[in-house]
Amino acid sequence: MEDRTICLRININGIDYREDIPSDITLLDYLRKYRQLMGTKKNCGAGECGTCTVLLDGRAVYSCITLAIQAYGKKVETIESLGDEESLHPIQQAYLDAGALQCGYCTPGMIMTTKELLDNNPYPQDREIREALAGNICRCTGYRQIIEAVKLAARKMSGGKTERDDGHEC
Amino acid sequence: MNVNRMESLDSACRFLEENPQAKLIAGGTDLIPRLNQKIESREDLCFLDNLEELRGIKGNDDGHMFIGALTRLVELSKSPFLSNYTALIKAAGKVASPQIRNQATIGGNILQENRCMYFNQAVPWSEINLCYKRGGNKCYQYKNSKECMALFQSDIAPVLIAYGAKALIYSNDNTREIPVSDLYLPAGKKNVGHAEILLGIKLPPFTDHYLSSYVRKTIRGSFDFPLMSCAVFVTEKNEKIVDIAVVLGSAGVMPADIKDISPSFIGKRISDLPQLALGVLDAVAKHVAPFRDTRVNTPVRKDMAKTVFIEAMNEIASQN
Repeated sequence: MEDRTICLRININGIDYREDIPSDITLLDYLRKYRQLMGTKKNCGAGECGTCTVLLDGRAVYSCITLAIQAYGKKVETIESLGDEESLHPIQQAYLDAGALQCGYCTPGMIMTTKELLDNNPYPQDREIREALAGNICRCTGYRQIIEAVKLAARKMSGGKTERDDGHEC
Repeated sequence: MNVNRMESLDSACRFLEENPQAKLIAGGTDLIPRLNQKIESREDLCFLDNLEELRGIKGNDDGHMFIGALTRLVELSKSPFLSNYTALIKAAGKVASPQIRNQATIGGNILQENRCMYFNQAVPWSEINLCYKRGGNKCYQYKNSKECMALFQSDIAPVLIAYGAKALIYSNDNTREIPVSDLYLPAGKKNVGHAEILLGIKLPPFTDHYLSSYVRKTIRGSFDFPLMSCAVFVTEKNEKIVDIAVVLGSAGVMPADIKDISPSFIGKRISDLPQLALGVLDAVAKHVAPFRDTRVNTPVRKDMAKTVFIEAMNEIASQN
């Protein structure tokens, strides 16, 4: 049987696309080769490092082990959906301010995982941050600054609030 | 390789019958890494994502709880319907990483491929002289073994076996029901035919007071396959233990259902479990198959089995 194409309907960063793609292409390769969204990084290809993390209907997934067709009819958010050089997203700014990146290769994945966490849990505790980022590996920073960046981002995104309504400090 | 989205169970079964090399794919977190690493041939894939009847968790009239095979692990770990199934919720929340749990399904987890450093752990020497799993004629773990001895490292399967759960398997308008423990065959094979599809899991109703626990040991604190794990399920009546199941995970080619230690606990009190557990440690460790990987050797794995067993028993006692 010859390799064939399949029609993909997908929303990426708010824009709808409908096009024929090879049926076996991964979401990561589709984003990089077909949509030229190069912010999502390719590394292990085995779902082990987290550099390729994107949000699929709001859930963080590894795009390297997700077929593009698995995103059929779904919304994908990549690092390009956040800020740009002129206007950084609060999470991006927090990573800069906290010194949470060195080589930067893991950073897009870290930031997308952070976005999923803060979208669902605006005031995470340290333990919750560590658990949320467990699937993203950084070989440069040692993680301490990354956890600080997430806490800083949480404060930025909640308008400077540092406590939950119940008085719990984030 | 072609990916074929299936619109119904019957069309999926037909496709599998007509394509003997085709593989099923659900979440893909087990299969796609092997495809990417080129240790699995790129055959046609039968993609089940559209089959909504395989999703979700619901209670049946007969008291059983049904978990569809495509239910994602993140849904299991957060489901209010499963709040009494302590061990299952805990195990589902420990599998791999949040990204994997967002994508992986319970069906894929319990039917996942076995693991070994000579097969699917992406090490260069696995390509030199192929092992059984990769089409060769030897097992590097056991020189004289006639079949693959790779470890089965699911977190979920030991828990389901401890609960006495059943697997529902569909083919050609027919559904068969087998204990989850019967899914596992020698050499890492699974008791699901090529044109059969796992519909889901039935958890039995429990009338008496019951408790369950799950403990796993890993090298890293997170995001790792268990080096050893233990699920325990205890049923109590009139403050006496009437049933107990202890299942080790990652102990061999299939989960180890340790039935020979049950008499030590029947009729005793749950609060006595931690002390009683100390008396059967060697019997538990006996079920650990000799196996080495890049991290731990067999004696350490046997010690780990004792540790996870003790900790799981302590957890049961502390819940009571």
